Amino acid sequence: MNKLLWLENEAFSFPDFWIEEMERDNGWKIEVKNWGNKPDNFTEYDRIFILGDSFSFTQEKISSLSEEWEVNPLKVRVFPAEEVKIIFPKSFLSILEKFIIQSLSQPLFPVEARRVVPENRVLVLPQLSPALEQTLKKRGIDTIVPPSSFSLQREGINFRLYPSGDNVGAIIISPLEEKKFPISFSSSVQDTRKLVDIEFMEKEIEKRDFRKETIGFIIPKKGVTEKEWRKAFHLSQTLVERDKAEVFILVEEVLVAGENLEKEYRKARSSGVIFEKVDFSKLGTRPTLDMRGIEVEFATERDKLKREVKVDWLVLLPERNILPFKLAPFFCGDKIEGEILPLENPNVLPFSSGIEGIFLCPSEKEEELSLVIKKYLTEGVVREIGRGEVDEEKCVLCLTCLRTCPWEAIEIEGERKKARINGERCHLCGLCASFCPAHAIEIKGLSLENWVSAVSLGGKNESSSFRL
Amino acid sequence: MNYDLVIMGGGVAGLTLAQTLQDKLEVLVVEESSPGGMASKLGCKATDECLSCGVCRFINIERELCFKKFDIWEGRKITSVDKSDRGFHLKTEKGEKVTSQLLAVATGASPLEIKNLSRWGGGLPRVYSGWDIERGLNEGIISSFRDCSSLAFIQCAGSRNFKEKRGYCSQVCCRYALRIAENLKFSFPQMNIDFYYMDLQILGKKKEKLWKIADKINLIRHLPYEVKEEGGKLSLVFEEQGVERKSYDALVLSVGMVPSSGTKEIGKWLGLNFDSTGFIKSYGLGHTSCEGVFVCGTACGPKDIETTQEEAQKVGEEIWRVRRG
Repeated sequence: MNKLLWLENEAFSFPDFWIEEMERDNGWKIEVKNWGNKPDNFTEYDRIFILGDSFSFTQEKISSLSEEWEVNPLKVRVFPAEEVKIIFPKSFLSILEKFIIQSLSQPLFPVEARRVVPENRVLVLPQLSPALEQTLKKRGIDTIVPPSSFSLQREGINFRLYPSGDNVGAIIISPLEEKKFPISFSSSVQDTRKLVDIEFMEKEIEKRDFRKETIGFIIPKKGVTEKEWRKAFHLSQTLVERDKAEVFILVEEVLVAGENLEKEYRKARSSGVIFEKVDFSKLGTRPTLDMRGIEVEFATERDKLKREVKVDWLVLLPERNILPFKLAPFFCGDKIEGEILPLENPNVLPFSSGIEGIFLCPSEKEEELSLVIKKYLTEGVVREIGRGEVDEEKCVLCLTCLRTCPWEAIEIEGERKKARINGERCHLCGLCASFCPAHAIEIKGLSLENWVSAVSLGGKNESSSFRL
Repeated sequence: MNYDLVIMGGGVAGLTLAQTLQDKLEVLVVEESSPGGMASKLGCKATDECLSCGVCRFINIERELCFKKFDIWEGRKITSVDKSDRGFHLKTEKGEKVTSQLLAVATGASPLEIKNLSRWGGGLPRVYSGWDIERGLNEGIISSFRDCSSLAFIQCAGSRNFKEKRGYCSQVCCRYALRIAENLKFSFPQMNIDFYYMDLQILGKKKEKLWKIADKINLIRHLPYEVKEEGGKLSLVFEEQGVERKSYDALVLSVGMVPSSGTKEIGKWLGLNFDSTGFIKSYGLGHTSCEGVFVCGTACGPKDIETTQEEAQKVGEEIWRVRRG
């Protein structure tokens, strides 16, 4: 006698009339449970059916549920609730019956859902910034400073770092930035040594007084971060209020779209800092005659009149451009090519790149990134081990699977050198199986026919042509 | 009923906060209508490539609701909140009572109604608010602009206006307007799009892409004086060299966010400090002027979806730290 479990949601549930009839006709024993009162032991059931929308019950979700319940993931089936709404009630029962019969007739292969947890250690490339190191340390994540020459290889879910042989759970790419400025300055202007960056000014303001001096800021619109705008507002305000200096800020746009950033802008402006919107292409500079200052010539966007201001210091905020970092030269294996780009996808963790275990760190987001990394390193991922199998008799070692696999899950192993699927990396995409010219690879339980024939075709067609 | 934490508002902030703390605390989310808040009504703004609007981030929150370990009360309005030594006591419209140790306010913001913006033609036909378009994206509102040959965006409609006590930048309008403009340009390349603005507020992730979009359209740094309907077209008056007039087939007012009615009400009940803009004042990591009450999301100032989510996670950590002692 087959013992079945039918799990229902609060949102979707069926009236119970169908159970008795179906139990009598087929000799099943069906238990109906709600998500609230799930049974403690799931292993006693032959099949577990979930009535839910296929939007929520994705492949990954079923994997992690089977891991939680300690059952074979092939035993867990989702009856798509959104389809139920469109099925005519009379034909519903026969469809449901077909669905259950088909599920029971599917052979059960020994598949195990296993949680794979990466090593609690990260490698930061190409350089570990102090801010990132600090926040990672706060959350108890070890960091490895990349040696001068190294290579990387996948080791299950981890990456192995050579020559040291350490395993790292994740790689963070915190790209290097290139500082550039939209305006060029002649060498005579640079000779005055009054062209400084904002870090210099920050240090200098603590040491000395800028009384009765004139200070100009030039801030381009692109590539200046929120933190730098904040710094500029704060610094200019201090210069005016503390030292009674005269401060001009020449900008293309004033950017205030940040937490409390607008308040700081208003504070700076009301304290007496002069903001001018200017066209940077018409901005000219030359040194003063005594070489102790710089004359800045600009036309304001407001009235287009030319003005000239003599400043004692000119503070520049550069545009920051991210330099692409190529991982390919360090990687054993040819799967990682070109730049690694951020992925905007709700199905993956934030800051993920297209490659599992590799994250990208945008500037000033270290805190958020470390939260995500911590989650990834403690929770790991659930994999179904034993789903993919290669028939060694059929495999001719053409290496098509090795080249197709996006996850580098194919290994060439054994005495006879045959392809093998590493379950810790396999994402069950089925690409290798579909491309294998010898039909040697099978991903078990991966076929659409299970419910397509049962639901959409109303159970009329015994064998369906839908197959992955 | 007793809970460790009651979250008022089931939008992106409230649900993320609940999901962060569900394993550690007994959490209840009280929502006036149905969970999702403002983000659930928005549409994806991708053209042939993703423009990183972040609306899809809500999908994951929604999916995880199936497996939630916290309670949600849907369609229940809170009628009163009291504070005593034992914690906070809440009453709902249906007469239910809840006691909780901590409170989190995630009641969010709401878009400004364009009826109030009659100066810029709010209420006239073919004058849309940015939110109307955002909401209509899923229903294919973009294709209804087929017969438009010229269109104008008016930025900061209602925001950055001290006279009307909204002297703040809503932070999202420039970015969503540029994405909508890119969508329009993608579908109808012949369309002439003018963009009236004060400053292009493009900070944060993917700013490079948005700057590229901004280069494709005509940027005009002026706030139009008034909008009138003349001969089936919308005539717009602004000042450049002198007074100029331009007429358009359609107009989009990029309205910003204002504190929602729930935010105002609950802030008043709890005696929370408001900042000058009408949002609840946050003293860092979600702390408010009242002990035991936290605030997150757009209830304490305009934010985009991504920042809201990140902030809610941080506030969640802080609440756990406070609770643990």
